[in-house]
Formats: sequence, structure tokens, C-alpha cells
Amino acid sequence: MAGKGKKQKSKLSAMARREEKWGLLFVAAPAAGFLIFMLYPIIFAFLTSLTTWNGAKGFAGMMDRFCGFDNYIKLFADKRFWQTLLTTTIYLLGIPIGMILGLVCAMGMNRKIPGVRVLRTMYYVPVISSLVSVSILWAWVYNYDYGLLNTIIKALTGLHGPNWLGDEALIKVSMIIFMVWKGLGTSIILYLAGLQNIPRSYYEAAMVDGASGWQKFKSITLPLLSPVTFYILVTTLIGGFQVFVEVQVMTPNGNGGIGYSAATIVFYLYQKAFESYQLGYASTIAVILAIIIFAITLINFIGQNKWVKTMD
Amino acid sequence: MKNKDQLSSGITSRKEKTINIIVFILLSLGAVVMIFPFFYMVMTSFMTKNQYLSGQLRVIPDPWVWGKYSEVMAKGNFISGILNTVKVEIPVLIIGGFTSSLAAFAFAKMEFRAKGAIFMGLLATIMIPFAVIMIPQYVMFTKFGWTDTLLPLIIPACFGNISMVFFLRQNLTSIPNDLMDAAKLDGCGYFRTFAQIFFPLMKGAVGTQLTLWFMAIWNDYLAPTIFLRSEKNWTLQVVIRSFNTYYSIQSDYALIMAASVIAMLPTIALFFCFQRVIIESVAISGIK
Amino acid sequence: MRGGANEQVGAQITVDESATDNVAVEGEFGDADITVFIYAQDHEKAVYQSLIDKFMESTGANVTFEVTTADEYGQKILAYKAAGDMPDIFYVGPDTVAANVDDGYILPLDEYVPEETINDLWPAITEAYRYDGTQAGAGPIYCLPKDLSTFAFAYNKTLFDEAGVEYPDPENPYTWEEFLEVCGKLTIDKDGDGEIDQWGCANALQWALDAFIYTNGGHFLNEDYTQVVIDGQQEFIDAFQYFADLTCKYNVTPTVEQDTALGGYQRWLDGQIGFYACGTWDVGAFMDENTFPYEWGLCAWPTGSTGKSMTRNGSVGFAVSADTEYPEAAAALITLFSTDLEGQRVLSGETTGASLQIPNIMSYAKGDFKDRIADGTIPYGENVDVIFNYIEGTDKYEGLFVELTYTYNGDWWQEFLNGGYEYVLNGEMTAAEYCAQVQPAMQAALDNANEMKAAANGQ
Repeated sequence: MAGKGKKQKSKLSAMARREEKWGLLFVAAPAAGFLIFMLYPIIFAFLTSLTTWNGAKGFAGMMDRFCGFDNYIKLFADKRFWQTLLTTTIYLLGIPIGMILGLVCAMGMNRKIPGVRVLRTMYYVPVISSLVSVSILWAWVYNYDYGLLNTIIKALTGLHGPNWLGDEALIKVSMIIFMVWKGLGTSIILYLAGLQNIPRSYYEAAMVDGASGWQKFKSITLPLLSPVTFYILVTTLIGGFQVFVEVQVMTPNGNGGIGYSAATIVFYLYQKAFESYQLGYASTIAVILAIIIFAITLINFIGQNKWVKTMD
Repeated sequence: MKNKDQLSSGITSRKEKTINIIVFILLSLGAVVMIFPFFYMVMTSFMTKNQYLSGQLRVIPDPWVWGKYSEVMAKGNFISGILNTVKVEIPVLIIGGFTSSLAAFAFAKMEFRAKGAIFMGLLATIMIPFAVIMIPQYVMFTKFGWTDTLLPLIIPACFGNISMVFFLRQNLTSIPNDLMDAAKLDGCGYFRTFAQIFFPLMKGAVGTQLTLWFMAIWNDYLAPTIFLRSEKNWTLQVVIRSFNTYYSIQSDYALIMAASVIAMLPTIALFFCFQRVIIESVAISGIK
Repeated sequence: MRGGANEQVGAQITVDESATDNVAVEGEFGDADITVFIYAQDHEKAVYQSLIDKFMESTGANVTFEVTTADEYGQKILAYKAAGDMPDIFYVGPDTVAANVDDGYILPLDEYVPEETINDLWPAITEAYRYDGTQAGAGPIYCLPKDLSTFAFAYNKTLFDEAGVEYPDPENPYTWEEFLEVCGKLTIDKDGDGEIDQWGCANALQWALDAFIYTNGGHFLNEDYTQVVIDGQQEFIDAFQYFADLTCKYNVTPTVEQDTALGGYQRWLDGQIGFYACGTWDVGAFMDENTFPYEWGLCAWPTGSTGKSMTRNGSVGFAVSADTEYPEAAAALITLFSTDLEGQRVLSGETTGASLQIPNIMSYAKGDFKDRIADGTIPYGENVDVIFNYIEGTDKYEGLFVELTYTYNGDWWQEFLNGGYEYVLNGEMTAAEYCAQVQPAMQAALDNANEMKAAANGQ
């Protein structure tokens, strides 16, 4: 890298060099923050994953317990790890659902209808509420005998509603509903901003060409929204792999649900780290999780060229 | 906004109007579904235990019990929790907002060595689960002597928020590069180009991101939980959480709901006040 | 704490600042600077804060008091350990004494605490905090107890009166058959709407299963805690099946679904439950008219094949960091926390009227404390002797530290809970099937814990 840089440098004009200097300066703060508060901890965490450290005796204590890649080998044979990874993946189904709903709502709000501001705010309230509070609220909504959902079902049908948080399959559905509800406002607000950002002249030109509504949607709206879609996809995927608070608050006694059915990979990681003090093993889970997230994001970025358009 | 409305009103047909009415009704129904749990939360905070544990669908408190709110304010360390949260918000949003916007500008519109690598490196950080870096960070903050202050929540954030950088950069790609070239030709310095030309153009996006960031800080509880040692430094969510832990055992949902309502009010009020600016300025940020 | 029995208290207890006015501390620690980090509820915090104030006043030491919640405590102490920055005084439970000693975190206290002070603590508790490097129960003492709790059984007298059932006799614990019969009589449809709304008992498995397993001679692990032995072990399986049958076969408890809707604790407070577990920390709440407006008494858990009623004891203790610069001052302060008579009067209810623990000081517990209960100064459920029986042990009673206390971590027990035990409770699976199914995962977790323990000891 250094050699290549030197070679390039000699070719650079004075102006380009000035740009380079300023550019590096402008990104210096986040870059420094990255080195100090991220890269160093990540390396530390990776080292930890190669040990059976339980937190004792600081860094020296950690290196005393070096065990190579034993934790990784153990992890691949760990049923709970695969179970929680699968559950986490199932929760990701909420992402496309949320995006489609978000786009549909945003397009509706982009029309000439009254009270858009109020509507938008109402959809956004779950997003700005604290996750702890709304998780407690929904645990209460899902309550088998006294929850809002089952009392409504009982009032409407006379039958007792299902045990939303007490069944291995249903609890996953319940969690997805909750997550879609919680996140919908974000995709609406971003899509709405994106929609309003599309120059009206594009549509007018299409209208002159006699394009149908669907054609306009397909050839103008969707492509021009693709940067927003990309942004939402990348961030929600990353967030989706880190679900934790919901599981802890919404499962009875914070136990991860019947047969561990609602537990996510981060939930498992936390239990390993803070309930059985296996920092080494927990770090191994964390490293694998980071690799998964990194790989998926990379795939997103590589695929980006195929479908994300800019207005240039 | 007004101009557009006038422009389109001429073409609005009867059919369009009917569709608009249907859309409005559907969106309103959806909004009711979104909001109803909150409504129920507020109502529960006024109910007696007998009522919310009756198993009957009765949404309106009977009788109304008003005392839970004063109970909450008196019990939890609410005021100090809010103050601490504000003490974190102000420096982070001002300094962090500035560093993030500046970096986004550089990534989007400037050319420099290793730009792609630095950006990917930064982007990688949003992929890192907090769980991975938490303990190492804690060890570090202890060495810095920060653990009995709010600094662990302030200093790292002042270096910038990568999600914000990412979104602003995406946003800037929709602004033609011609503008940058023109500024260069005019001999305009890079910082001036940023401050006087590009920053005004992305003000709306910055506003949105800062609002989102404000809420993220307001609602964050994992980092404060780990980094803040003593009660006097606890931020609001930590206070609320200790509260939740304590009262859910007794099924005192009225009290918990009252606490949640109070904790949510500022973020909702803020969004109500600023949403118009945020969204409208995002919408007009594309230049012609 | 894991395996400990510190749950929440329902009553609101106010502690007067003057409650510990009579405290006197000898010693001069003018230059000492001590940090105390524990979890506590508001009333406990008030007691310890006032003890600290007195301590600072009379010794000249400076004390920083940091408090967190019980469920965040483990996480924070872990962070302190990783950072190599331990508070001078912190909580350690019997389950983590060995690990803390092995890792060199805590000081033996014999040198700093007078022998007569230690001798006036309950033997059950001092044993739990002794460790000789290989075995618990012997060697130097590493903690002074914050409390010694026991998880007794209680019954709602009002419901017994209504159903015309005789009160349980603490002298003669029920057998399982008798218990089932009584529970059956208490399980009724009170309002006549066709649905059961009062039950004989409601036991949360994670707290109450032990009381059934051990009394039946069952156990989770072999004697040296290296093997999980529940698969095919008749004593264990019978006890677990009986426990589950109370719910799915005899229907004398709320169903699994009903329990997720509203926990047993709340149902008991609402007067829907005949028998319920009562920890020593619960008494203050249960005696509070607003929290629990019923007459109640203590009784024994029903007995299985051993004929002895058994339950879990719990404790958490104050430990002094091995890194402290002021061991004398820290030891003096924890002695005050643990054994100061005025402080104990507050916590055990003599001063406040709400009992949260049995006094740590044996002579006071057996003397004044019992007298104050007898004369009504300390409100207490009937038959307080049940508590003393579990703590001291008799021919019909035994309190014990569960096996979890003696393993390096609780993962194997977590596996038992995560395996879907609810399917046994709702009758979809038998106890035998469940034990067979869950044992391999439990064994793997236990092996892992033992490996970690060996690694820690190997240093």
C-alpha cells in the first residue's frame, strides 16, 4: 500500500494533493474514533475468543488461558448456537415485511391527503419509544389472560386467544410482529423523504410519454428510491442480527422462551458472558456473529451496483 | 410544498380524489393499530390493578387513578436521570454532528488516498455487535479514569456517528458533482465549500439524523448500564429499567406504564415539534 | 445472584435515619478510602448508608457507596474484574466463593474479624463461606453474611377456613399424598362461572423443584459434581413427575398458560393460592396489609421418600477485595454491616415492623428476635419455628444449599430450564422422557464448567 501510494503521489497535481490533505483531515475524527474505540476493542475481543478467560486477572490472566481455536471448534458442535442462529435468521423475515409495508404507507402519505403530518407521527411513535418500555408494553399486550390482544379476541369471538409468548412457533411470530411494529416508522420516514426528493418533473415527463401508474412506479419511483432501500436494508440487517433486549424483556423471567425458542444469538452470547462468565466463549460467538454480519453487508455492497441507482 | 400542491391540483381528477379518500382511511386504520398499544398503555397507567387484571376488554379506567404519576416522579431518580441524559446529548449532538457531517462530505465529494478503505473500515463498525467491544471498552475507560463520570458516553460519540456519515454520504450522492467542481474552479477552500455550499444543502438530512441520534441516546440503556457506576450518573433509561425490574414482580403495571409514558413524552414532543422541518428539508435537499 | 434466593419485596419500607443511632465503631482509620459496591433495595440501602455515615464519623475513614440492582450486579462485577479494578467491598455468594478465591480476588477474614463474632453467626452460613483451596466448608472464612435466607412454605389461613380444612401441622409435615388431598380441597371454582379460580398451590419450577427432588432422595449430579445423573434416576424422576402431575394431572395449580399470564406470586397475593413458597425476605411484604390482606402461617414443604422436609437456603456475603489498601478498615466496615446489632434490628424488622431477613447474629435471633415476634413487635406469619428448623436442621427438616452452589457455573441448570420443561408440566412429555432428552446437553455444560474450573485451579 505504501509503495503504491508513493508512486501515485508523484503523479498528483498540487491541487489534488491539497484535496487529499483536507479530505484526510475531514475524516480524521471518525477514523481516530474507529481506531481507539473500535479496532482496538475488536482485536482485544478476538484475542479473548482464543482463551478460556472468565474475566479474572486482567489481560495477563486472559493470556494465561490461551486455548487456540478450541472455542471455535466447540461452537460448531454447540446445538444452542445453531438454534439461536436459526431463530435470529427467522426474525429477519420481519425486514422485507417492514420494508414493503413502509414503502406502501410512504406512497400513500405522499399523496394529497389531509393530516399526513399527524399520520406520519403516529407511525413513528414506536420508533422513538424506548425499546425497554415498548417491550414491556408488548409483553403486556401479548399476556395470555389479561393482554390487550387476547381480551379483544375474547370480546370478538368468545374464544380464548393463543398463548402468544408461550409456544415455540408462535413466540417467533409474536416477536416478528413486534419488530415490524417497532421499526415501520423508520422505513416510512426514510421512504417518504426519498419520494419527496424525486423531482416532480420526472413524473411529468413520464406522464407526457403516457406512462401508466405501475410503469412510473417501476421505472421512476423504485429506481430512484433504491439508495434509500439500500440504506434501510443494510442497517436493518445489521440491527436484526443484534436483537437482544426484546427477548430478555418479553420472554417469561427473561429465559429466552419455552425451550429457548425465542433466544437470539446475542441473547445467548450475553448469557454466556454474564451468567456463566465465559468471556472467551462469548467472544467467540461475538466474533462469528461479526463475521456473519460483515459477510452479509459485503454481499449487499457487491450487489449494490446491480440495482442501486444515483441521480447523476 | 405549497407550489407543488398548486401545480398538481390542476390535474387532480375525481378518480384521484376517490383513491385519496380510500388511502386516507386505510392509513388512518393502520395508524390506529400502531398507536393503540400506547393508548392502552396510557389508560393502564390510570387503572386499578383489579381492572387491568380482570381479563375483560375494558379500555377506559373505572375509576380513574391519578396517583401513579406523582408516585413515579417521587420514587425513581427521574429528574437526575433526565439531567444526566441531557448532559450527554448536548456535547454529543453538537460535536459529533459536526464531525459526522464533515466526514460525510469528504467521503462523498472529495478524492483522497485510501478513501474506500477508510470508509469500509468505518462502515464495518456499525456491524460490530456492542457485545463484542463492551468489555474491552470498559477496561479502557477504567484506565482513563472515566468510569465514575459520563465521559464514556460522551467522548467516543464526539468522534462521529458512522450511521450518520453513511446516510449523509448516500444523501450527497444525489447532489451532482458539478457543484463541487465549480467550487474548486472558483478557488473556494474545502472547508468553505463544505460550510457554505454543501452543509446548507444537507441541513435537512443532518437534522433528521441528529433527531434520530438524539432519540438513540435518549433510549440507550445497554452502554449506560455497563459504563456508569454510581446512581448519581444514571441516565433516564437506566433509572427506568431499575424501576421496571422492581415493579413487574408485583404486577404493578399501572406504575410501570406511567413511568414509560413519562419517559417517552420528550421524544414524542420533540418529534412533533421538528418533524416538519426535518422531513420537508430532506425533501427539498435535491438541487436543480 | 445465581442460585441465591434474593427476590423482590413487595412492601414499601421506610427506614428512619435515626434507626442506627446507637452504633459505635472502635478504631481509627483516618486515611482509609473505601469503595463499597453491592446491590440493594431502597430500604437496605438506607440501612447500610446510615451505618456508613456512622462509620465515617467515628473512624474518620472515607467511604464511597455504590449501589446497583441485583440483576445487573453480576455483569458489573465482571467488568470490574476484567478491568482489574475491584471495589474494596463487594458481594460474593456461596456459589462463587471458590472461584473468587482461586482467582485471588478476596481476602480471608479470620485475621481481621474477632472469633466470637464469627462464632455467633449461623454455622450453616459460616460453612458456606469457608474454603480451603479444594473444598468448601472448611478452611478460612471469606465473607461475612449479608443474610441467611431460607425458602420456606406458607399457607393462606383464610382459604383454609373457608374450605373447612385443618391447618397444616409444622410438627408433622404432609406426605405427598396428604398434600395432594389438601390441595384438592383448596382447588375450587369460587365464583361459579365454570372456571377454576382458586388453586391448592402454585410453584415456580426454577425455585421450587428442589424442595421436591431432595426430599425424595433425588439429586441432579453425582457426589463429586462431575456427572449429571437424572436420566433413569427413579428418585429424581418420581419427584419431578409428581411436581408436574400437580399441574397436568391433578390440576391443583394454575396451568402453564395461566402461569405465564399471571405469576404465582401475584396470585398468592390476590388470595387465589392455598400454599406458596415464602422466603425469609418475603415476610415483610406478606405481613403488609395493603400487599397481602390475609392471615397466613408457615409450614413445611411436603415430604417425599426420605420423610424429611427439605428446601433451599440462600445467602450472599460481604467480601473484602484482595487488592484493598485498607483491609482492617474494610473488615471493620463489613463486620458492622453483617453483625451490628442495631443494623440487624432494622433489617429483621424489630425497628421497622417489616422483616426482610433472619438476624445474622444467632444469639439475637434466638433471643430478642423470637421474643419480639411472640409479643407482636415484629409482625410475622405463624410458626416462625419452621424457618429456624430449616436453618438449623431437625429430624424432620433440612435446609441446604442446592447443587448449583458447588459447580463452577450454572450452565447445566440453565440447560435443564431451557430444554422445554414446560412440556412436562403441561403433560405433553413425561418426566422420564424429559430427563433422558435433556441430560446430554446438561452433561456437556457441566463438563465445560469443570474444564474451566480445572483451568482456574491449574494456575
